[in-house]
Formats: sequence, structure tokens, C-alpha cells
Amino acid sequence: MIKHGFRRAAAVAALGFALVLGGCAVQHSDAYDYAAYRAHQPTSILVLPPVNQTPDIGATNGMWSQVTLPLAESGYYVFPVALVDDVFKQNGVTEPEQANAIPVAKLKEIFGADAALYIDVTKYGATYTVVNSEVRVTATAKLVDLGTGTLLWQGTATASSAENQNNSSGGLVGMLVTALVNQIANSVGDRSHEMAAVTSQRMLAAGRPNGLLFGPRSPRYQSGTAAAQ
Amino acid sequence: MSAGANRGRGKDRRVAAIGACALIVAVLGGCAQQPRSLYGWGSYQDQVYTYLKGEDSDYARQIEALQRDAEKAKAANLPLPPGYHAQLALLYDKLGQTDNAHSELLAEQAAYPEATSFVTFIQSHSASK
Repeated sequence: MIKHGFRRAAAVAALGFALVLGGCAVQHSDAYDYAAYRAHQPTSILVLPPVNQTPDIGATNGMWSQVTLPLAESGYYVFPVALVDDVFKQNGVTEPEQANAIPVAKLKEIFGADAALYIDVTKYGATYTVVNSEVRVTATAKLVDLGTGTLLWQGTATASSAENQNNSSGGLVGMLVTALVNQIANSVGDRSHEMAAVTSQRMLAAGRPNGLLFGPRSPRYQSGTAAAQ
Repeated sequence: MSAGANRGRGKDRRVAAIGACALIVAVLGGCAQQPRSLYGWGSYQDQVYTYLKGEDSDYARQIEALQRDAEKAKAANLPLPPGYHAQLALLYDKLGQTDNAHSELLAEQAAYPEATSFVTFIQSHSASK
């Protein structure tokens, strides 16, 4: 009787360990080939002005101002975004597409960065369906070695205000009330900019499956990745 | 006989309940092991956003906010993140305080030697203005 209970508790505890180790541990998918990335591990990253593929003119600045944090916390030096913006503008490069077209050798010469991050924002802002509105920010990014032009990594992420909502309660009236509340909330303040922080974190924070590797300034630099090779 | 069996089942339930609680604590504890922040961010990213939008020309207030947050970071024993000093340099330059701008750029370079080439580039180009 006591033995039976102990066995069950032990099984529960074993399940717990499995969940902790499996669910919360850093995962590196064997399918992603990090060979080029490791061969050209950058210390510093120049983030170019994100190309805006959305109708919202605030997308470039909204996204660009949220990328420094996840990259720096992942262990990289990130070139000061506002100064980079000034340098481009003072040299007649006024659109992100123009900045993105500058040859890597030129970028390396001006900034002295190891790698450049090219970002495309494909969704930024509120969309409205019959019964709801949501704020969504979606972006893709490519990390390119400035010495060789080699593509080191690419990734994508999205974040939406609809994620934590449970629209199944309260029937149609409940859904309409939620939609109205969201519409008011989404139009007050800069929710797209806030959402961009989540997208940026998901896309650029190191240690995620198929994500960026930790950089040299991180205490987790080159940890846990040896096994994936 | 039945009384003894009942007592055994109660013990089973208690042990299983303790096991379940331990499981919950372990999972939450494991998931909660977030690495601590490397830097004291303060309002840095917000200030960058403000500057990029170009709608606010009160650079003195922006400097004030960054300096205040820098004090907080120092008190919390957190280094300032990449670009923080450089942002201050940019704002001082806008106000014509070139000495302050210069020392902030040097501070950026001192904290982040990766920025040396870029700092040199900025200083050589602003000297020619």
C-alpha cells in the first residue's frame, strides 16, 4: 500500500524531470546546419533598417528600435541604431531598400561590423475581422557575414494580440464585446510597437530551436551546442 | 480488513498529491530559470524609437532620461548596453555639446572595442563639419 503510493509518486516525479529537461531546455534541431555560422561566428552585428512590406509607415522604426535588446542579451555588440540611421541619411541613403542594397564590403568598411542583419517586416498593425481585431507583427531576418557575404542564419517570427484570448466564452455577444474592447485597446497607444518587441524577442533571442547562436559576450556562448554537432 | 485497506488508500492519495505538487514546483522552477539580464536597459530602446520618429526635438529631456536610467543601472550593478553611450553622444552632438559627445563616444568604444572602427568614422566625419 505504501509501496504502491511511492511508486506512483516516483513516476510522477520522473515525469516532472522529463518535462523540466525536455520542455524548458535549449533545443537545437539537428536539421539546422550551423556550419557556416560557426565558421564565421560574429561578435558584432549591424542591423540594417528593416524593409517595410506593410501599409503602416511606422513599421521600420517600430521594429528597428526593438532589435537591440534580444541581440545584445544574446551576447552580441549591436551597432547604435540611431547613429546608423544618421550615417545612412547623411549619405543620401534614405530608404531601407537602399541601405539593404549596399555591398557588404562597403558596410564592412564604414562600420567595421562582423555581420549584418537584414530584416523584412511583413505584417505590422491591426487587422479587422467581423468579430475581432488583432494587432500582429511578423518579420523575417537574415544574418550575413560581411567579410565573405555568406548567409549565416535566417529566421522568422510572429506575435499577435489574439494569442491569449479565449473567444469561445459568452457566445456571439461575448465575442462582439471582446472585439470592441480590442478595437479600442488596439487604437490607443502604439500596440504594434509593443508587439514588435515580442516578435523581435522570438525571432532574435539566442537558444531557441533553429535560432541564433549565443554570441561571445554571453555567459552561454558555445554552451549546449556541441552536442548538436 | 476494510478499515486497513481504506487507510492504505488515503496514504496513496497523500503521497500522489505530494508527488503532483513536487512535479508542479519542479516544472515551474525549471521554466523559471531565466538567465538574468546582462545589461541595464532603462528607456534606451524607447529613446531610440523617439529619435528615429524624429517628432521630438527636446534632446535635453532625452539626455536627462538616459542619464537617470544610467544612474539606476549603475546602482543595480548592471553595465550599460551596446549603443547606450553612443545614443548620448548623438544627443549631445545635436545640442552642440561636442566635448560631452566626444567623451560619450570614447565611453562607448572603451566598453565595446567592437565599435572602434565606427567611432573613428563618426569622429572623422563630424570633425570635417
